[in-house]
Amino acid sequence: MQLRKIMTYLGAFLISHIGAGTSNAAPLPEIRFADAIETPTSIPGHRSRNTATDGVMLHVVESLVALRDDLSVAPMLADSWQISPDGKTYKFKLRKGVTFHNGAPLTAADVQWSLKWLMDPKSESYCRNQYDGTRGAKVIGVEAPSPDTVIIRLEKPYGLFLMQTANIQCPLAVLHPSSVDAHGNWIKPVATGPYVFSEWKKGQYILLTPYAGYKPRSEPSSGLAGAKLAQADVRFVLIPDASAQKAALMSGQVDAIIADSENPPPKDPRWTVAVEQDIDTNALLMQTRDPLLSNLKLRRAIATILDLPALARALTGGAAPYNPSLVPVVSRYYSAVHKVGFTKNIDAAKKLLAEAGYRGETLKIQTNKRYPDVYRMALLTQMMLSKAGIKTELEVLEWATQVTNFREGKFQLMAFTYSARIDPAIMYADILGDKTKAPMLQWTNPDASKILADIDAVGFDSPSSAGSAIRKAAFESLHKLMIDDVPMIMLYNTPVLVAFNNNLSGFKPWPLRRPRFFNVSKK
Amino acid sequence: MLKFIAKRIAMAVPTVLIVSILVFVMIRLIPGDPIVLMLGDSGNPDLVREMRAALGLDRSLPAQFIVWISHVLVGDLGTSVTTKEPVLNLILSHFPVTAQIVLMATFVAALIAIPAGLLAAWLQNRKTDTAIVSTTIVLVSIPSFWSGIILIWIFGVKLDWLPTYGFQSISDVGWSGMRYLILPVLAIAMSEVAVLTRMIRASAIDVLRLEYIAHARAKGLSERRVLLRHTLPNAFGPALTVIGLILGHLLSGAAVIETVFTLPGIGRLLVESIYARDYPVVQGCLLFIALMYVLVNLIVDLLYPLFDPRIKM
Repeated sequence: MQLRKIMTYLGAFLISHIGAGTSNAAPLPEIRFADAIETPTSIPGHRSRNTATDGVMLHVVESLVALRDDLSVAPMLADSWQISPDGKTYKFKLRKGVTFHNGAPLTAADVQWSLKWLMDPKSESYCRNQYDGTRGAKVIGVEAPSPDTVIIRLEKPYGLFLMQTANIQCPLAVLHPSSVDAHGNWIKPVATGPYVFSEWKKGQYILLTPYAGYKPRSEPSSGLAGAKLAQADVRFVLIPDASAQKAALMSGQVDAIIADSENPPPKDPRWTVAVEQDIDTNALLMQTRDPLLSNLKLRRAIATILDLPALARALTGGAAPYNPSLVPVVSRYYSAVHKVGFTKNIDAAKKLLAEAGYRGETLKIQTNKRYPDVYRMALLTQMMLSKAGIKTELEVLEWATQVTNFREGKFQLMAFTYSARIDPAIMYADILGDKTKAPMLQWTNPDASKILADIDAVGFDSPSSAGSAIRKAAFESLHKLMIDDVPMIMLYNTPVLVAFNNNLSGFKPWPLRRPRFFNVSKK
Repeated sequence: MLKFIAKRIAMAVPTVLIVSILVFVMIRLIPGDPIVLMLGDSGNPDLVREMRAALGLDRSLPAQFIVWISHVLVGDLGTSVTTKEPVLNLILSHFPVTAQIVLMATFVAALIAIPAGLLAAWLQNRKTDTAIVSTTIVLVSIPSFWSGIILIWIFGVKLDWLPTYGFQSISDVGWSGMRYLILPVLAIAMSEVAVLTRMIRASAIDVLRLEYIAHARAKGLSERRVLLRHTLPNAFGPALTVIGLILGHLLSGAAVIETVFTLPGIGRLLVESIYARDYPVVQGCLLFIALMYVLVNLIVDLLYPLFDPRIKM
């Protein structure tokens, strides 16, 4: 009897307490976005980064300039800028009335401190190599002659400098010195963005809250530029499993996910599944230093056997077209020239194979199963090549092994995806060069390297400028050379499926994939 | 007793040492590099070299091992390559999550399996026995990730009773944290209950055939007393070994369940560290897991005499 009483009380206690703990009323609605990966670094924006880091940071930090939807450069913390005739000095005029999340006003000294801290080896910033000449510009000086004027000096002209400072992967994040402690150790980003980095429960979520003191720009919103208004708290929750993400969306426990293209949420009036053209590049890499594949005719034969438009259709479910170029379809440099690629012609391919002296040797295609699209790319390629008599064998590797092989050039054929580069010149720079010095490069062609080096110094800050036209012509030349050399076969730019609840208003996908939650409200 | 414990701990030392050497060497034999993974498809070879040197990864394997083991001996498991956090802190923050779920799941599984196994043995070859055995076959055949997804679908999506993801510690938020534990505990318990039930059933059938059970019945004892007083304690010994193994296995990380339910446990920490080739974290986790196995088995050995007085320490 006594036991029964105790059990009754215990049951009542449990029922009354379970479910009662999460009912704290929030002053603002909360938008929840499910991310499959967690930011790898101990504090976002410091030692290491991934796309999860970028997604959080683009709401919190701002740079002097920002990228629009078309990936062109627009003012952000700087209202205007001047570039010296020799292209080596940038003079920025800061916007008035901007304050940091701690209430301190933005001054040129803060920009100076931010850039110096970022470049200081002690900061261990992942992005240091973007400003020390390792990759791109080499900053040799930063000055603050007045509270609203910043001067940045480069060792030599670099046409992508402004774009680099706005890059979502490694922006020139303007931070308040209180972002680090007295010993220079990173604490958290105290920046100027519309959201404040409020709470991080490792392995679970990152919570951003609106910054009450944020003064949006007057221009219309575009990309990360223009007016940005925080209208809700935003919680980036970690849900590694794709099915669990889908279940969370369907139960209304999260508001937006990057949907699994093979298993998207079903059609339902409660949510929308939007296709977004990303700028990731999917390609079949060919090792030009391999005894067999060093033969241009064999590489060209492979490219001619494959039905590339059909392959792109099959791999994307028709969501993305075949793109033979390293210039993404959404780029403002994309033209009819970039649409010219390879056309399937089995008879011509067989002739090329005979001329190449191909005698049925087995080629290995490396791939992985971590990224299903990459695996399917290898599988379909194998199937198509077999029809023309090319023997292939799939080598399904763990992702870390494949990346290592990629960097060391240890492969014959490899199904691979390059992550997004905001400008085609950056993409070309990462594949073009001397393979004997850097095996991860895919294409060695001195003429192409010269074209790329020539446009590095060309400014392009206005789409209508002469510099822009020069770059466009250069990218067209590079594409033609690449089609001639066939060091790799480009297939398509990754389409991304974003599923979001219809209670979100103002949510729009964009080419840089990371969701933006400013100017988004929740009913 | 103390002598036995000291002896067992001393016996564990070579085990842990061998594990540490194997783990250290094997993780480095796998192709892949933490720096390469951090840089992905960008970054030049000079930067890779520079970062490798900064992290001491450019030294010879024996030199790296000596540095690591000398730090381990003074309780320093190193720092994560990717996050720069102390490995011990990472383990200590992730392990309680796994421990909460695993201990509850094992308790629930034992709570169901003991009476079910005993009942099946008592009613051997009858309909109840067939039903229990069939159920255990079904349960043991369902992969835990699948049962996890199904539970999420029913209780999270369709009925909207429980959260589909996340974790809140009971120590932080009180009993409301239970809402996050129910589904993962059920998913783990479903498979463990099947294994345990079958084990207890088999042991109990053996015990029920022994003469002292016939003697107990001949004395006129009730069936309830025969089962609970004379059968269960003797049948529970082998089950205790299995519980120990299950606990050791699960405490070392229920990585699949932790991934499906987004639980920040030690299993997910280990798997993600392997993917990232975060050597210090992998080494630290596996060393910790080896110690957990030793500890759980020690506890099981210490409990044995309670159920079988023939076993002496």
